[in-house]
Amino acid sequence: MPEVYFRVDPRLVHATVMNAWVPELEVGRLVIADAKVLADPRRRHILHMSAMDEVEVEFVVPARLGLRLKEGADALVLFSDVDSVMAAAEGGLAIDELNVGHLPATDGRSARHPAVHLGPRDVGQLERLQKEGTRVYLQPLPNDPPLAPFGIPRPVAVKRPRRPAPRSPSEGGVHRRRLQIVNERGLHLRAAHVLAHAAGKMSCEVRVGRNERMVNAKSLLGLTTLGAARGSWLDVEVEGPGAVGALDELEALFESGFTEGAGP
Amino acid sequence: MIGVVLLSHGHLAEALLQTATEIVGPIEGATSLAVSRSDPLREVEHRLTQIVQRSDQGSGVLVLADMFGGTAANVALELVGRHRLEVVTGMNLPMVLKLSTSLDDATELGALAQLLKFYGQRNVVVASELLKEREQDA
Repeated sequence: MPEVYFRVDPRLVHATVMNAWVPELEVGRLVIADAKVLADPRRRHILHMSAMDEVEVEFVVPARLGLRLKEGADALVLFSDVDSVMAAAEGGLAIDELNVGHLPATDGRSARHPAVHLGPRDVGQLERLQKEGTRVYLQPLPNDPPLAPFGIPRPVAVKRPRRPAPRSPSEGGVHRRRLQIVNERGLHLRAAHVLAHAAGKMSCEVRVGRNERMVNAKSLLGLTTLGAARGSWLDVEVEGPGAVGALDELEALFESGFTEGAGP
Repeated sequence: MIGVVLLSHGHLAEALLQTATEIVGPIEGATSLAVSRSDPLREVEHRLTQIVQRSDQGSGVLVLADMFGGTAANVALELVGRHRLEVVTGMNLPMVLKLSTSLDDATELGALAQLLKFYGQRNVVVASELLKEREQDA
């Protein structure tokens, strides 16, 4: 019997599935269980092309999934919505685990996770599935912890353990920009205070400096030791949650002369 | 692990890295560096050198640059031979996405560079033509 994973994700074959889930689950085929897609040749062509010959792509009506999954390569089954999952279950398919990986904010749904929105209808159906023995969880990306779909958000155990978490939460590593000091008095105590205060509110790490000497921008003391005069350039490094947005904010702050304006 | 530096004019490199993170999750070991029009070349080279040194954990560093013949790539090429690095140009989102699953297993820098080049090129297609061919064959 092939190993089979089930995921709700109306984008079906797309970048996250191909670049994150297929390598993570090591499956050889994607099975699209959707009656509408099966009846739409153009949609089938587009989804098939999107797999770029890296995996097989099959299309089936949900009620016939059970038969299709009895043999063949390990598979990731993709559903467009919870309705399709119910149709598969009613067709006799046993679903041990179901990852609700993505549902957009439409049809009166509310956010359970930034990428997963559930409405009353979804919740009712998922509760029924759980009662019948399916372990339902939310996990958009392999690096995300699998979360319980209802109640207090808590991690749940699933058959494919998630990869070890990266050493620090990040937006893909360290981001850097070189920014110029434009206010007349340079990074003097008051300006340094404005910068440290802004950096202190950011959840990412912020470092500022020149050459190899970088200081923690959340520390006023560190900033004042830089002795950065007007016209000098500083390297700004950010790392962690919200890093790139923080970099934009810091750039605006530098351009405003730390709210003192550009000197004459 | 092989280190990776995404290098571009303006903020393209950091935007690519951030977008890739939204699609596949964090890419460990990858950092970005922006080259601005006002940066003197020697300065850019100095900063890149520092970053390459910091990123090199013993297996070398792969530099992905935005375009062949651009300043970013040209500065990176100056470092070839002085540091253990490969420079791949024409960086695109599929290449950056591919990093997320290839860095863990990649041990040979040259092989990783070739893989990403292949993958990046493979993703440049006239997709509408491919679709029409398929629809005609069906």
